[in-house]
Amino acid sequence: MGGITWGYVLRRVGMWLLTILIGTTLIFMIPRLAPGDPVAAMIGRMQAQAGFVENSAQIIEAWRARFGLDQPLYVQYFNYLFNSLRFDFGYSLASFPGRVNEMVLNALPWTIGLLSLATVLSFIIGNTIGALMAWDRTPGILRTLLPTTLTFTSIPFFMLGILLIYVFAFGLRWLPPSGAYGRGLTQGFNLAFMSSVAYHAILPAMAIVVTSMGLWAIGMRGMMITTAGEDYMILAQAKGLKPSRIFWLYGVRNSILPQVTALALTLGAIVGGSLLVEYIFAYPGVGYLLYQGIVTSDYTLIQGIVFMLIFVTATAVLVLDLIYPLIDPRITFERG
Amino acid sequence: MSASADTVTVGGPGNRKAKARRLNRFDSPWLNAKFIVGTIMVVSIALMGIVGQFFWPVELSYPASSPLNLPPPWAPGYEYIRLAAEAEQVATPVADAATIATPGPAVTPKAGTSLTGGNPFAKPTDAAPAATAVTTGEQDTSLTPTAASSTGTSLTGGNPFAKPTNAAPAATTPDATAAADSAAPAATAVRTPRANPYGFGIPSWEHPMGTESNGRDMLAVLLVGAPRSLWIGLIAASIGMLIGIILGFTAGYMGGWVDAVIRTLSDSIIVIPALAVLIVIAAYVRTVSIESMALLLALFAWPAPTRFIRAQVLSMRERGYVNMARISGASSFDIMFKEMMPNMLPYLAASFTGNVSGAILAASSLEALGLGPTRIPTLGMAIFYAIRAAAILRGMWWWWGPPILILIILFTGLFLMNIGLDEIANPRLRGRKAAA
Repeated sequence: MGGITWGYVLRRVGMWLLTILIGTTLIFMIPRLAPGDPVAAMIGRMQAQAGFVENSAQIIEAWRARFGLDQPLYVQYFNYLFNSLRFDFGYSLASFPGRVNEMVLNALPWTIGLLSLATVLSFIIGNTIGALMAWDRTPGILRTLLPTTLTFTSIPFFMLGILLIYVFAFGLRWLPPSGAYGRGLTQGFNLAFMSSVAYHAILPAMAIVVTSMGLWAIGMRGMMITTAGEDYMILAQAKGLKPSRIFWLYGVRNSILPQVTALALTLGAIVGGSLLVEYIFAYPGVGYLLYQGIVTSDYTLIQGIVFMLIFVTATAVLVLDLIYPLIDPRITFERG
Repeated sequence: MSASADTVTVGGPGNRKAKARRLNRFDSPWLNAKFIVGTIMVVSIALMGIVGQFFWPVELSYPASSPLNLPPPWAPGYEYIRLAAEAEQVATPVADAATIATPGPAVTPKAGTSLTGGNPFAKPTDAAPAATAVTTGEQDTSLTPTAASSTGTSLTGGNPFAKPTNAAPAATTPDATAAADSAAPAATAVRTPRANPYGFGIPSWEHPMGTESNGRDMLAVLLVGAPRSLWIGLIAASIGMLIGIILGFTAGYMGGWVDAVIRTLSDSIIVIPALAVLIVIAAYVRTVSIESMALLLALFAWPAPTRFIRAQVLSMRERGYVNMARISGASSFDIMFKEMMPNMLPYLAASFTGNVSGAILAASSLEALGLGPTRIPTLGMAIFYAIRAAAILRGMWWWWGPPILILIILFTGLFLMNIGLDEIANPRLRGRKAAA
């Protein structure tokens, strides 16, 4: 019953750093692989959009100094790395005086709120469905109904989002098609604002929950079938324990562990998919900000957002991995 | 949709009749309902593109080859102006319109007809087919000047709101409809649009799937786009799979520091939200071809198969037949690819279908953000144009609906193949364990 050893923590933190390092390196390398001077290209794109950029020569000089483009590549790289780790992404190109990290930090709570809510919901619902599908005592009606909930499993989040908007916002007019809160409401912890936020979050959250819960259900079904054949399950039945107790504390409890690992592994995909959900619903999270960055060729914004996404995802996975021993006492972490 | 629900129940626990039948007559695990249905779905999509091009001109998938579905349905007074313009167009002979048409940017009444040609219901009239005749190739020689002028203006001056000022004066007055009603052929031409006043670009006989704002025929877009999506997925997944097989076998079989390096690397990369990094890449390096897009996607398609194959190899490494081969002096390469790999084929195939699905998802996501190849029609770009033009809230279901439907069929088919192959590879998943 080992618990967390220092070696395990160090290894996990090392992998967390490696993830961020690889991501940052990719973000750093890509603009430099593209032909031409990145700053001149940025200014060129600004000019293409605005027609004329005032003091473009000075901007180029300032950016060159900011980027240190006259310095050797490795110096640039370490500067970039250092700035990124301090969350200093510089200024936005499209809305110039605005700083990227402020924009991202304004948008991040929306994304994290929506995403964590939707992921937790889909994890709970999906695993319950999967466990019930593999359980002997599930009523017959449920047994036939449950597989239909898996219909949407393979659909991408954003495509279901479009269908949901069409049905619930355009057709039935029950729910708002876009935004995160009603117009004219001031942000704050008052009832009107909070209820509006909840009201607007239903559709985007539904798009993520309905499409992602099927994967949990399928994985859980497989694990439950394996668990059901274990000796301790037979013993629990022989002891005459209540079926609900056997189901939750013996079946689900032991089957859920690989699912937590799977959650850590698929979190990146979920984050990526939710970017498009925000774009479809014009939800003011980082996904929508990212789309605006693409539309306005705001490259510093795009880079800042992607760095933050990698950082947040890697951190979430790190936390998941570190709390894993709390739910799986079998793992001692002694073995590498 | 219902097919997937049905097939999930078939072969599921409790379906003893199916199980009994399988034991009696079809005792092959490959006769898996999910796998077969999924394969049929995917193959039908591929066939749709291959066969479809012989039945429908795929050139219509390029912009401005078909009538536009502009303007928005709520454009105030537009319906009324359009009706008036149609009435006027029917009233004046085509030859007159051709002579009136003057070179230069001035929008003539003929421009009005080319724009109202965007309405499929205007097709039965004399002049409107000329607008599409150029593209379909059924060009009538007598109408050549008309067609040339009308398509010319529809390409350049395709702003429908320019019409009220430039069209014939009679068209702007309320009397126009009343005057047109007196003429018998005009009355029928006008009455049809009234039944569906917002009928811009909706499906019709000329364009069974409707048209969109850039003048693409949606059926042609689907026929061209659907196989391309599958193609992107196949290329990206094949590359990812190849790298995964090499790295996974090496890591699992070699062990030691090689294993540690490969595992740490793939575990670190799998955490990165691939789509986000792909967005950065695609934003800088605007992809122009399907193949470069697939290469881009392959960049993140290898960690998952690597992990998976490594785990499989680890579980097989100490099996009897592997030890036997090792003792017999088989080389590592032979053991890996001649002994172990054939036993993993169903697993590899399941992983491959999952990878294809993931690559198609990433590709269509990038395209839906407008980062796909813009010159080649793809399903994702169709969705992007639809979203950009707010087609969902304009009720233009034919614009975004069919591309999404086809992608959903593709994803569902691949998904069914995936779990079907999983069941083929892992008998425990087929039903309940008998000895429980």
